[in-house]
Amino acid sequence: MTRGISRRALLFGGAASAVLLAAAACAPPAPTATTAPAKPGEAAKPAAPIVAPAASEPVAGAPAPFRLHVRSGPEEDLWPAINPKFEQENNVKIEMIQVPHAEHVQKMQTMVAAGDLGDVIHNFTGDSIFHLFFASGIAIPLDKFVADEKFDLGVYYKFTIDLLSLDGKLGALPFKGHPSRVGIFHNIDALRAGNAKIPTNESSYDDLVAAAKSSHKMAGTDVETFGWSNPGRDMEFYIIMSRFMGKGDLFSADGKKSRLNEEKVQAGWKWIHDMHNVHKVGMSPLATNPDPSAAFLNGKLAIFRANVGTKAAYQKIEKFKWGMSVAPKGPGGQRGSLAQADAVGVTKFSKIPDIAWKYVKVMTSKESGITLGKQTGNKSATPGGRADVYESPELVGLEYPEGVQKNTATVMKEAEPTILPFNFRGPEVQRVIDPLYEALVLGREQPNKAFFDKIHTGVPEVLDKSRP
Amino acid sequence: MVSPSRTMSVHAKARRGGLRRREAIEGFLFISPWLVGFLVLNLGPMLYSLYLSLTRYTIVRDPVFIGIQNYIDALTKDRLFLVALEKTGYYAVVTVVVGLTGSLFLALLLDQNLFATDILRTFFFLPSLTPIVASVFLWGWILHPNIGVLNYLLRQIGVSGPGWLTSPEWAMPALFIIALWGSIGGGRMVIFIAGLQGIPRELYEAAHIDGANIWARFRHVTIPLLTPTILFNVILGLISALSVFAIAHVGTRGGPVNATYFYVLHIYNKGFADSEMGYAAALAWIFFVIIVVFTGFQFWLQRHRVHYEGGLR
Repeated sequence: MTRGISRRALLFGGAASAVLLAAAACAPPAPTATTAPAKPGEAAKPAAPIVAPAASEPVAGAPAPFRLHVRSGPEEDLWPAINPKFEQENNVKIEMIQVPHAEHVQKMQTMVAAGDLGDVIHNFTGDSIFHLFFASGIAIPLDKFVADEKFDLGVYYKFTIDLLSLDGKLGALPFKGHPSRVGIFHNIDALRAGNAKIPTNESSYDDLVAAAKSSHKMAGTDVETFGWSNPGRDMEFYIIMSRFMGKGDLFSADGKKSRLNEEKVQAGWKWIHDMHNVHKVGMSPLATNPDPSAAFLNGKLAIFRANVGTKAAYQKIEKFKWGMSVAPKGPGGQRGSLAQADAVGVTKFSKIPDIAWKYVKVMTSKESGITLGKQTGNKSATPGGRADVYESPELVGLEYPEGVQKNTATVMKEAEPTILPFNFRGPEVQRVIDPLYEALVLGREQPNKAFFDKIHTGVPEVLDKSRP
Repeated sequence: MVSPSRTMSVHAKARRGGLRRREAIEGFLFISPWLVGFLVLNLGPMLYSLYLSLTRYTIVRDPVFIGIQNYIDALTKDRLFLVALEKTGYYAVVTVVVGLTGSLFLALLLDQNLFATDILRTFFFLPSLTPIVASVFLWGWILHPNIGVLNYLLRQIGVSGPGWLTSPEWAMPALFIIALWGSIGGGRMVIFIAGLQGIPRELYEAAHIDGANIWARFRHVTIPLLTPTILFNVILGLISALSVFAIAHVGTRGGPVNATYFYVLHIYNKGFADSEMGYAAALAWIFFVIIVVFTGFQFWLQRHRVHYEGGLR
């Protein structure tokens, strides 16, 4: 008797096979020594010591595959300068896994989920993602490598090494380092047109207010030139605001509590509010396109507090004179700087960690830093995390308005330590603060007790959570 | 003894059975590229995400089974859950209603075979080819509160323009403008044109002879015969609108003051920014159920409101 295959049976068979295949493909990688889940409010406890795998020699003959996670864009010109030589010297074949900055971290997260991360990763400190990767064992400690060859960490800025260490272990070397938004970029022509005093390193915050008010120019009901702007919304700036007008910080030293109930922390927030709503000279930092940086580039902004690295974008400005002084120290003696670094580390997935370590050293070397700083096109103005790059004659001699390079070198030595949420939940904290900060800038909220209470009670809800 | 006619009947039945089986196998073979793709690349990950939604999964550590805790947290603790649903619902209703009306209007216009129809069709269709990220950047310049073209033009006629993307009240309307600019003249319009061209001309002629004016012809001929097309566009439009992400991710980051904080943006933030992939999976499944319910409601509605010529459904 002939018996047909029913569509239902075929579909069922196909579905079952597919589910099995998918389950096999999607299954998480084999468990590794990471850290035990933590109770809310507690830091995760290490399940086992994190140690660097034993060094292994590359297979003689065929080059070993070697994968790098870097972003496309700002560093693009560096790879041709270092990779061919490295491949030859270490008998490896480098595969660059490059995606734009906006998707770079997500790409790495996805590959971690697939158990397929490469050997070396380029990561960031501003959004806690480096710390999360390191604390969970995705990036391995480098201390053994450092100790074995007595590698001198002193060549790097101390603030970068401090930032890239967690619980006494070093998780990466600094590919870049900077003190964040302590540059006071100013359009000299716009300031002169308004008879404003040009900002200098001796200017006070009151001087900046006066200069911004004088240079803010209207044409009828249109704003022709904005007097002032600060960068958009992010955790970096929330910390900076909490620092620059008083000796304060957004979080307590252990990163477990909000300090926004302290008046000295609130002072910077009030100052920003006033620039936008009392003096009415601020360009909204909420506009993303064009953002304040683009407005400065186009001569529409007189004073812009921004990352010192922004200078690279302005190097070719010809239609007006500009300069960069350092941000004033507020009454508490802080400029409101914030140590930041790009972290380059070795992953636990690497089968040749000794070679990966060598690459980390090459990426963070003096030569790479200078190449980054000198490259044309995608220029980096925060090259390397070391003084011998920032102070090298090649980079100091680059054409910038007078004082810009010297001021950059000054603030590099003063970067204040970064305190992030202990549980690496910076983006979540930011989403609590964002709408309130936006309302403050828009004048919908006043910088009063009720406002700060809202943040001060909202942030702990996130800080009370465990590490992911 | 078996009669000859019965023997023939058995043979014929066996032949038909063999034919049906062969046709079935061939049919499945033909659709197997899609079928395998769907099962492995869609259904498999979907089922895996259902499992993840029942776990605490932070990407950097192995999933830990926690039952329905993620669903409970979403419905009881997540302050942005309802905000995101509300904003998404608002966006979907406006963009679907206005977008469909606009697309239908353009399709009717182009169906009249007026002057330069082909050029106009291309002109209307072009914005839909612009990638959404490029559209948002372009409109960011146009809608900039201080140096944007739109507010400049408004000032010329004595109107002080709003902050658009920087204003909690105007950010959503600004996103409507961006979204509708790119969609009104796009695929939906083309589908409407196809639907309009499928309506028999004799029906219009008959209605005309009976004294029906333009409005009556539109109301009693065009709309009823276009209801399957409208239903199709509504279903796809609603699913697309509910899944809105890029326009807010690039243009507003969900702000200002959460005015454009859409649901999929919330899923993305929880999954990738907060590394709570298990929770994000639960949010996605809640959203899936909402979309299925909406789509089911639309299919239920079609029984009463959608006219299929010849009674086919």
